[in-house]
Amino acid sequence: MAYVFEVKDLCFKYPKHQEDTIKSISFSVEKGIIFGLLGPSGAGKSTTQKILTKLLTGYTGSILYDGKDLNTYNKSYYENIGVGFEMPVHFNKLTALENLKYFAGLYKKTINYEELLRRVGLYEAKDQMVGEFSKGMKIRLNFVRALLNNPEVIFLDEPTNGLDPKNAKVIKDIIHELKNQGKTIFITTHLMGDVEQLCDKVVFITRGKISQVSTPRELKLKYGKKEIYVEYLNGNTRKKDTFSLENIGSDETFLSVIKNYAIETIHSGETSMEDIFIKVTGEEKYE
Amino acid sequence: MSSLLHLIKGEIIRLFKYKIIFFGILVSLIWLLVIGFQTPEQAQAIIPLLIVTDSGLMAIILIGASFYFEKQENTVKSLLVSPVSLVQVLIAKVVSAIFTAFISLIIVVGFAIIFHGLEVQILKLFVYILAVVISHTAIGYILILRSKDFMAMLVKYAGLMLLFYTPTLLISLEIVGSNLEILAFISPSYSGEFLIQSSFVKLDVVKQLIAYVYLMVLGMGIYVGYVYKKFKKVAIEG
Repeated sequence: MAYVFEVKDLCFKYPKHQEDTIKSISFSVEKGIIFGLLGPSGAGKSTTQKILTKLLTGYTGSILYDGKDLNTYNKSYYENIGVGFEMPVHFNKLTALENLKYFAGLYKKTINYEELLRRVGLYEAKDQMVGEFSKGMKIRLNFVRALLNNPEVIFLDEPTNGLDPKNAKVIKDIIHELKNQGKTIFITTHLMGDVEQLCDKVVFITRGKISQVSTPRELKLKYGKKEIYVEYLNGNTRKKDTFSLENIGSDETFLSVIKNYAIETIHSGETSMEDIFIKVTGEEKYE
Repeated sequence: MSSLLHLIKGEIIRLFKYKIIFFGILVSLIWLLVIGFQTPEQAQAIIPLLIVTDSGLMAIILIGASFYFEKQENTVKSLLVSPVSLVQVLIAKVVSAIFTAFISLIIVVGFAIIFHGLEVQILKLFVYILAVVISHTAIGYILILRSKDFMAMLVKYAGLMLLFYTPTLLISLEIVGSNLEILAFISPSYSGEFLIQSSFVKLDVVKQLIAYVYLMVLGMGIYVGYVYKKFKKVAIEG
């Protein structure tokens, strides 16, 4: 298995803080996957991402990128990675195209960003000042900025937060396409719907420590109830029964219900990613 | 090298887009009014002070405005995850400050030459202005990197102005004798003013050398020893 990142015993403390923000975490990111780093606000997700993007230094532990110590990479590291920030990162008094031209000029190779602008629905607004953009437009422009250099590893912080469902779908579709091209995508998000739709592997961070490493499917199996709930009409009376998924095919009562009554709804006991988030992180509320 | 040129070009374009250059030119035009009402002798005496104020102390305000714009827009973060070094980013910023200083220098000195017929050693002036800009912007970055916002920086800046101009005042009002003038060179503004003045009139070469080396060493020392270490940390905060 080829790894893009291998993080071992990573600790980090901000100079003015009393305790470590990151407390000896270890995880690995396989090449070509969509990796989700999840956790409540202040858990250490952004700090971890800042360390991996070399914005923060002074950590202890080891981080290997493509098998080599991250510290040995110089500015050429940024030719291989793309970073999409959660907040807008553009010059407001420059147009979208001027912004992209400026940042593209810093790389050896770039994509056809006008085509990508078209894809995310910003082509018509390319000559508009970014300061006049809506929040959603700025988020989409951030996404294009992150992909400017056709990076092999893409860091995306809340890539669809604040987007309407149509535009969020466009972004998610592109993320899937990037994965299919063999790129590795590192996502930090609190939108559990995105996690379920996008991520191959997730790591939950709570108060600087890893509380769970898994896949969305495994988590759903682990935390969900192996049951199905059937609502049906018995004459004029609405009834609801619960059946165990174990040997459901030979459960006479279940088979009788679906054969003899008008079924209104069937739901599985699969738990939502939101519930899993709360269970894993121990947080009642999250942002 | 091409990345550096690209960064410099971007900085200069933004000076125009954010109207920072417009603000700089406006201040220079105010100086023209001041110079216009002076006799040639008075103009020659006051121009070095105006140039240092414009190219040195105003540069602090301009780089401050530029820094806080960029911090507010998070563009520095975007730049720091690009294949450019922090040294290149800082050089581009200093060059854009020098560009602004040259424009105001051309306006002010050009007017003085045309209107008052003053004689000036242009090349010397341009070389000396580099030392003024490098030292003052470096000091400006100390203020910026130690202030939470632009207003907090301006408060510190006001104190700095007072401190820097005190030697000029003390000497011009003859409160301090010329035998103590060498101590006044500690003030970067006084040293800068002396250097600029030497482009108009003949002054002690040794003192020029001391002032020039002092400003360059001070500026470079601050950039290397302080700005380089703190810039990234402050830029990515928040």
